[in-house]
Amino acid sequence: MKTRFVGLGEGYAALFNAQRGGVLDPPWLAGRRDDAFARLQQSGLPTRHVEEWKYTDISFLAGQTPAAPVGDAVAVDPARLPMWHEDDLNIVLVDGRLQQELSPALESGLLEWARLGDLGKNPETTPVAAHPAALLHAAFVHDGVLVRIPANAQLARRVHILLLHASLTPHALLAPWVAIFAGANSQARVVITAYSLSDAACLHLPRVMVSADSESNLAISQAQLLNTQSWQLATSRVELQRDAHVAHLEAGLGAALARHDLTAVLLESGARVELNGLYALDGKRHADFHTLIEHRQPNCSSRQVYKGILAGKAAGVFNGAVRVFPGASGTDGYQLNKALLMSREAQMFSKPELLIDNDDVKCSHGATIGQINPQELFYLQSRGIPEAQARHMLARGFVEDIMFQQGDDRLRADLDGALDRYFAAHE
Amino acid sequence: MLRIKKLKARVKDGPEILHGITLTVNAGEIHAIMGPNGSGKSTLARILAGHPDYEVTGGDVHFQVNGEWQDLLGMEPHERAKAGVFLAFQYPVDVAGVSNVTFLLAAYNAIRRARKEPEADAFEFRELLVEKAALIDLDPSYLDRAVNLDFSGGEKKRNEILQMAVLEPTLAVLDETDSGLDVDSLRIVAEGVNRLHAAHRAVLMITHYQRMLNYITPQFVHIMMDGRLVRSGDAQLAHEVENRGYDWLKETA
Amino acid sequence: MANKIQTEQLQQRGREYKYGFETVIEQDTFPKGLNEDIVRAISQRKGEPDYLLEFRLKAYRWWAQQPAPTWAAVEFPPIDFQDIRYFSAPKSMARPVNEAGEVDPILVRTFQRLGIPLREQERLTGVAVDAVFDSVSVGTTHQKMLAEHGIIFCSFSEAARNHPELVQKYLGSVVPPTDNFYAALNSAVFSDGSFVYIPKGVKCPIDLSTYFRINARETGQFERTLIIADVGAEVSYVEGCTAPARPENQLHAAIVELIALDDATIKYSTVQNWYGGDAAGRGGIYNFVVKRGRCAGKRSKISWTQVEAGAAITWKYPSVVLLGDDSVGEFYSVALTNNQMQADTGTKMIHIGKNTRSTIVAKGISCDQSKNSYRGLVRIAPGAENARNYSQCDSMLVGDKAAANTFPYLEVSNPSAIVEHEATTSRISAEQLFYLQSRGLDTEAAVSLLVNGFCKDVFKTLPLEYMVEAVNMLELKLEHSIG
Repeated sequence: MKTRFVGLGEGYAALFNAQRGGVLDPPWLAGRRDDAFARLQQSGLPTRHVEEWKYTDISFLAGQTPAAPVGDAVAVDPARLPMWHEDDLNIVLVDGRLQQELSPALESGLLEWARLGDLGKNPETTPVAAHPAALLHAAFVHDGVLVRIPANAQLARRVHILLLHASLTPHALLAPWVAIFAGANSQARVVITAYSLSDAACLHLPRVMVSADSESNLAISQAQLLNTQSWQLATSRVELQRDAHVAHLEAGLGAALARHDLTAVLLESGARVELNGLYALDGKRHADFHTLIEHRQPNCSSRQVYKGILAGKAAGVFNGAVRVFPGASGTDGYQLNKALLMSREAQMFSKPELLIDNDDVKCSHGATIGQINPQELFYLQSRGIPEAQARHMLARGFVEDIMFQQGDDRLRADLDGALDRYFAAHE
Repeated sequence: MLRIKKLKARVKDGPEILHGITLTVNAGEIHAIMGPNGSGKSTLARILAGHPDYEVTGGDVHFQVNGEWQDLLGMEPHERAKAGVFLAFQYPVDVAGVSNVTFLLAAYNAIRRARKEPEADAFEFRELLVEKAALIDLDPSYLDRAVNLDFSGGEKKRNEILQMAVLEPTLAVLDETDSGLDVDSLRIVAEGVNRLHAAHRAVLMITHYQRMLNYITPQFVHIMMDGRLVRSGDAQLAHEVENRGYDWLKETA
Repeated sequence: MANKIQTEQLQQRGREYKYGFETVIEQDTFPKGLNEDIVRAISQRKGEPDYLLEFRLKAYRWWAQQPAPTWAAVEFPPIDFQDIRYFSAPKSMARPVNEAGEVDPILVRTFQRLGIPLREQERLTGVAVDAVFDSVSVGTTHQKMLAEHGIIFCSFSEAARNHPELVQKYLGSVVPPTDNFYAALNSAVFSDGSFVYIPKGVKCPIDLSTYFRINARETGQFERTLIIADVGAEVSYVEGCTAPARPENQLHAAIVELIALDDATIKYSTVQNWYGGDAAGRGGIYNFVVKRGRCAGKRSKISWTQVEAGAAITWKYPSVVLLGDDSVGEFYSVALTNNQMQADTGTKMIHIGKNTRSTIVAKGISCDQSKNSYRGLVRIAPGAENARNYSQCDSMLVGDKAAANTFPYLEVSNPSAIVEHEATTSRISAEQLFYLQSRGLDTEAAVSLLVNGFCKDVFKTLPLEYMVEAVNMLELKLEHSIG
């Protein structure tokens, strides 16, 4: 028989018990934590024989001994971070803990906010999913921040939430929680950056919850810039109310193994969501993007474009599902997924899914996987550009449009910088 | 050519929308029916074409085919088309997978068969289509695209006029063909209608606005309110409505 | 199939299924249940050589250890494999027959009703037919003429006895007995089916076909088809299938293996019209089939075309393993589901050789409360230089209770590959139908226009006479669902 799940090693129970004693959880959180860990111990971690994990093996994590991020850490000087901008509304979490002294935005008066541990009830509207990343997060979440954008507010400044990994402890388990609640008719841009200051491998388990109230307009960007030893299992949920609009962009540029399960739920009619993604992988790195868009009500639209560059022995996975519920007539769903293979041993696995339970829909998806067009390469070379540079120019051109999607020049410049470093490593 | 008598109708299992319409249209005439939104204008147009969502609850409609009066309401939608009735849809439907030319050739030949005329082959039909498309300023590339799929609003309306020009009906019913059109499209559509118009044909225009009537001059204008024709007159009536709105007619209704 | 036959005397169950009648004939039927004795008894009944019995027993022992798979997007209660009969044959078929003249007249009449004349003087000229009734082949036409070209076309049982070297070499070479649960089941209990061998350089002068008829109650049909096209050979093969309309479900678990050597071409077409159950979802065939071809030779080509319009549940993925350099795989499919039918079907294109190309065109039409899923895999192995794949998967929904799913898997491990996949959904609505009617097309012509528009890329790959049959079959079912 094929082994579908492997049991969690004892290190997890030890860490769980140690952490549970040290945290002053409100009752709802303690109950949720215990429940999640019990379920996790029951299920274990999936192997590749589980359909949802067909292309991504996380079962090796079960045998590891995760650690609390205590002891040595790299000193944090945010101003020296490559994506730091002084005039953003900056909120900093270090190793999964909110750092108020580094987060002047909290005192700006422009936002309402709360610490996870201070919340009287669970702000998440859905129970913890039977998903290893969601369960791990719920069991080990230590701290987090809820940011509320007041109704009708038009935030001129960006909100930048930095999830910094500073611990030098190997296998530090970090489970930060971020919730963005946008009030009705509000408008804001939020960037969430995961960044490693440390060279040690960590297990990063972030959870991001976005709730867009009616007629709000949000641009949410998630940049993952962990060091290339670390593993990330991220889950995000975006909920949209009537006529809300969320443009979501993710950039997967770090980590040895990164999996992100992103669910967008169109809860009321007229909501629009865009999910865009770009990733650049090399070495033996592995990135897996699972997106699910749920069209639950009529006349909603979703648009999704993911593009990736794969070099070395890297492997990319894109599994994007669009699900149209029976009542969701007038649905407009579009999905495109493109990958560029830059080397002989790179691999791409793509699984775009449509699940349609309504006949009044307009849904389509497309996927292409290929290499750089040799004619284009030759053309550039014939104009005197060396091959390596020409390949990088073409690869950058391949993902360029994604970076423009948020209309955020600062973000685009920062991602450009990260891509510069990616290409520089190959020259 | 068309005799509507005391026509009453409703949406299936819904409330009555038409409360007794009487209207006669003779060959060579152009009639316009105007009225506020929800007055039942489009319902009348769709019932004439045999739309399955509606149910006739009273009255009758007769249509003259080769000089003989026939019961229009007893005919299937395709039989009405073969008899010479054409409805230009307010919201033309898109049909994925079926090209404009394939669709129109099938319709053209179905109608020609019914009229006992020789069928056209694909080559000569394409020539005919290209010629007609040029008249309404529709790029020939549209002929090979799926029917109405991803057409703009104006292109859809022009495609309706193309179909009308090809199928050569004796009675053209235009259901708000002017709505959503820019000035150029409006002019092209109106020219298409005027070109078709002849002594043995008639046109019944359903419209909300008077602006279409700047290009096509009706001999008769009827005002419909709450499922009844409350006033009839000549083109002057349309101008009056344009200036005064519909409310003043309410009292007379 | 090309000949329309009189059907008014047939028991009818719904306008859209005219093949639902049952033939009353004395049958030799095994008791219910499956064990090693049953497997041995099947082998003995067919007078098989020992190697086949060993093949069956090995498969049976592996199968007995396996749980039934559940991963497809279809729902049905667990099958009780001990409640099925694994062999049933007309008593009159106790001895093998070669030419149709010797066949029991009742069977001849049955196939006549299905549009398959078996008698020498009536048989179809452009196509040779192997007629399979429950567990046995009852006759194969045109054998003599084909033999003059060196072509072997016979029932599987005959091939096992008369051409053991070919059967032993190729049986299970594409679909190993332990490939999966239903492949193992079939390998243990397969009863009959067709065998085709086209020798080097021969282009088969006529279409070959097999007609599968399920008749006996509570009996499963487990046929096996093996087609080998030797170097430079070409063949076009067509299968058709029907079953009586009954309120209980019946299992059909077949295996088809195709082997194309250097420069060989095999075109395999299916027009599947098993009984699909009634509007309440009662009855119909469970159609769980493993179909796979191996482009073993350089420049070889295997092309699958399927028009699937019946069966309560369809679960199958006609696939091609592109082993030879420059080989070509194709999959063209129309799957129509109506009433409460469920289909999870698609293909696998496994690119291993260099410069291999594959094309997938899959059209799903879901009507009423049915569920129609496309599931397909395109795998480009590391050594498959310059592989190309293009997939187009379109769904059409008819009615707001129908469901359509698309599950493509693209796995690319070679940078020189170009893999492209596109999918769309659309619908046939009452409004659309009215629009077409208002332009002079009657319901039939309007539906036909819509179906042909949606499926033309698949229809045009069918042999002409089958295309007419397939189009009529789909139009009839669709008119029923729309009207």
